[in-house]
Amino acid sequence: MAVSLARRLGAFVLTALVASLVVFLLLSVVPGDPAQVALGVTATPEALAAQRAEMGLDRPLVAQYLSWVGGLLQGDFGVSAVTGEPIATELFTRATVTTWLVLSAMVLALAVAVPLGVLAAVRRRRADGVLLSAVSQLGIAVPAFLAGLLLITVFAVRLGWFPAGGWSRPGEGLPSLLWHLALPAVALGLVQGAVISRYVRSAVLDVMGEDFLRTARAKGLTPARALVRHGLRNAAIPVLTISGVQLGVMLVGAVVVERVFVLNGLGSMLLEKVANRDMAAVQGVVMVLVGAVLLINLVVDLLYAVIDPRLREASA
Amino acid sequence: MTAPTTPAPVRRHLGGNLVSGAVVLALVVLTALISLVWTPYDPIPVSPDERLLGPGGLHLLGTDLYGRDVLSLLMAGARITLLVGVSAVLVATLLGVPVGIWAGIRRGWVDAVLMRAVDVVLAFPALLLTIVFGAVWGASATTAAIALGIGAAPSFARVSRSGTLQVMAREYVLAARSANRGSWWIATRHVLPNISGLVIVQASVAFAIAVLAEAALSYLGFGTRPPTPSWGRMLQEGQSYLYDHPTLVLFPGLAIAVTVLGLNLLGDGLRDRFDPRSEARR
Repeated sequence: MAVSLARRLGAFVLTALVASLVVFLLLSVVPGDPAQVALGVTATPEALAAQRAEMGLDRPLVAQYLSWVGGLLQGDFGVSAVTGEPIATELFTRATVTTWLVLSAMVLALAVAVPLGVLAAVRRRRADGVLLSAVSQLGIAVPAFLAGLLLITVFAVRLGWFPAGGWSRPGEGLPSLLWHLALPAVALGLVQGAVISRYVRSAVLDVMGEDFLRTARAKGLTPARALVRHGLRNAAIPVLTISGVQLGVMLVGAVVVERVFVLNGLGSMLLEKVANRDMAAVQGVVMVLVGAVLLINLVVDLLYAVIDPRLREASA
Repeated sequence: MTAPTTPAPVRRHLGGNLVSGAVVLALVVLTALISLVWTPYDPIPVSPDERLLGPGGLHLLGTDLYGRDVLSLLMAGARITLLVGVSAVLVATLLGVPVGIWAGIRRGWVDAVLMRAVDVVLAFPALLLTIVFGAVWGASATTAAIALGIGAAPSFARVSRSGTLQVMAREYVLAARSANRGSWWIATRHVLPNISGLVIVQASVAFAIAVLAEAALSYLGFGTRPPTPSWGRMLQEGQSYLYDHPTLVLFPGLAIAVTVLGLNLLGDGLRDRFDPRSEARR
């Protein structure tokens, strides 16, 4: 267990390091001079040179990378060439919005997907099970931002029940937060819920064919109790895998949904910084998103071992 | 000449998914092809005195905020959807499949290094990669297709690798090896034909994902540039008119959803046919 834990952590660190190198290199080859971005087009050559030296751009690329990564490890993402503010401060504020959005969407997705998926599996030969499968097939085909636009049309524009966009002001409390969160979370969560429900359905179908479930039935358990007591835990592994994958998908899907609902999250930060040519900030946002995806994968990996004792033995 | 393949699968009736998916995709392709030679109106020039006409009349689906015919825009938009989707799948196949086969044949440290590299690429979701590429090289349909292809390549590599590992354990491969056949010979004669079904299934899945991503990117302004019509940008332009002209969002939205639905059905149908573990055998 300890060995496999160490190996997974090692793989995580290595992947994150290589990924950080890719992010750094990709955004260092961008045409355009960050010093020019900071000073504007009227700057003299001397002022530009001084600015480049101050920003560390006259150093070799390797040194620049090392100091960037060193900073990251201490939570220092550098200073924006456009605003002159530390990037980490803005990242933190923006990440709060995105975290709320993605986590509430995930909760929503699972709350819809698990019951519907189980139902679709158990009743697969009946009309309601088939209907559920068809609805989930439709749900997958609707991109989250389209769902968002439709939700705005109906619930914000026509009915006026929810705001069409924006975020609650500080100090307005949880009810206001949830009120602003409702439509974006539903837009992001329902589509992913449709994806996950299909995996739940197929995982439950797999389990229903297993011998141990027949044994449980033979012991006198009702089909429902046998499934709940023995089946669902075994169905959890593929569902966990896809939930982890979908959490990463949602994190990036949030980029688009934030644009639809005018939310100041990481996604809209990314798009703003790209538009402003503020590449140091773009590097920061991309690194946070990539790091989050890697972290999600690591946590999912570790959760396998918690859910399934067999995997603990096998990988040790 | 040809490689010994697995016995032909037991003939099943053509799955409903496969047929309906193929029909939908064929319709989209046909629409795109027709739009090359004919659309009801020219979808490019603006006509200010015909702005925001409702559906019906001379413009069957109405006109947009620039007075362009919505039906013509939808037809022409199918082109960029298919073009970016197909190119992305091609890029992903050309990058991912050789890597997967190579890792599966060579095993050992080659496998370890390649799969670690795949893990790194996997950490960059396709949409994020496209935005970054757009920031570096400028947003265009080409950038989008390449970035989406790179983003999708890891899943092709993984599928090909696991397929290759299975093929490599077969007796005819062992026979070929003892006959001193090289890796290239085995890869092209035995592995590739045997994993092509898995790759085709993966391609249909990746196609659907690429269509969704292309729509999102065009919506964000990271897809093809104006004035080339695209469904995603129609959504973005229609967003300001949700109250008075909801059809401006509804029609392109429907086009995206139907296309993706068709591709997903096609993918499910192909999986039933090619993937032995598919639940259709139940």
